[in-house]
Amino acid sequence: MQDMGSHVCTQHFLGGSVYYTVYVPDGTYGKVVVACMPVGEERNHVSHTVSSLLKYGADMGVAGVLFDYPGMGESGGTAGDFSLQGSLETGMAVLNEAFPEYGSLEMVFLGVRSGSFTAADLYRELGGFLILWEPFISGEQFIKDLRLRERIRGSLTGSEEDGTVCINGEESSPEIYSELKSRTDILEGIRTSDVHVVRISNSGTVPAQYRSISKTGSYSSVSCPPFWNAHEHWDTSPCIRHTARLLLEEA
Amino acid sequence: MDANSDIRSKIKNMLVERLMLDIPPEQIDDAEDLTETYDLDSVRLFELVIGTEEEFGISFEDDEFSPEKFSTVNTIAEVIREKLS
Repeated sequence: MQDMGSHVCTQHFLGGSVYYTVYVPDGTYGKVVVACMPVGEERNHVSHTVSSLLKYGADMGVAGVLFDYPGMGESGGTAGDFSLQGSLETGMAVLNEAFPEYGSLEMVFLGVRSGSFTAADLYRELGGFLILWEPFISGEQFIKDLRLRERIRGSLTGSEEDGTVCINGEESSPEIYSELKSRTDILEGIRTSDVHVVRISNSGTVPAQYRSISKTGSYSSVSCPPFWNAHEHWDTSPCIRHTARLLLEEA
Repeated sequence: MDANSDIRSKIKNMLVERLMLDIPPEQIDDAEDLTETYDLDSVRLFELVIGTEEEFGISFEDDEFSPEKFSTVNTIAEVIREKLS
């Protein structure tokens, strides 16, 4: 592998409602990684890590793009409007804007936590390869995660918690429940050979939700600090090196 | 080691691993207030709940959570014993 050098460009479009960053190798490239970020507080926890990965990939000749859904991160809008269908449409719009030639490129969709729903949706639309970092296997799991986080936050701040699902402190639209509940298996319709699930943890345990995947071979575990501590020292983390290897050698 | 001691020992190992504590597991007292001693915010508390689920193969509904249940090694062990019984 040879370090080619790269450049990074940030852009707002669609009236400022969508923000994205592209990572472009200095030479020619034939592959692009589309990073689909998680929502809520996890988006902020992993942004530096994903950014470092894409920069590393671009230095090695793989283009990349990282984008925020409306209402998240640097994008404008309201977090309460988040929907899976809207995220898919945002991802397609970003691809059209950032890599209009994407039809001639190999596509790799990187889904991080809840971003895995959008990554899987983009894969179903466009094909390619899918790398999922600690995905929720079902929409129900994601709802449970959001509710538990809200309950814990409420217990520490003394605020009432009524079981609603909030993202970035904003109550979600009712549509998100039915969207997520309809997702009983995130890998539905996806060929096993086109997906790799990465578990990132210091723990050697395979969580129950990944046990069936771990038996298929499309699963690996990286010993690494968890996401919430990630931003402190992840530039050269085992997770980035492991995923970069998948990008360069398998995907 | 009896079953209760085994659970507490696993909890302490999990705490050190998940919360990235720079202390040996045996230094954690069974009755010390974890939130106060280790400055647990909502993110770390969430990690603790998820870690307990994964380590012991159990599952919590969101309305089963209360800070009291996760306040000490002893209270976490009690929750686990109830779940496993």
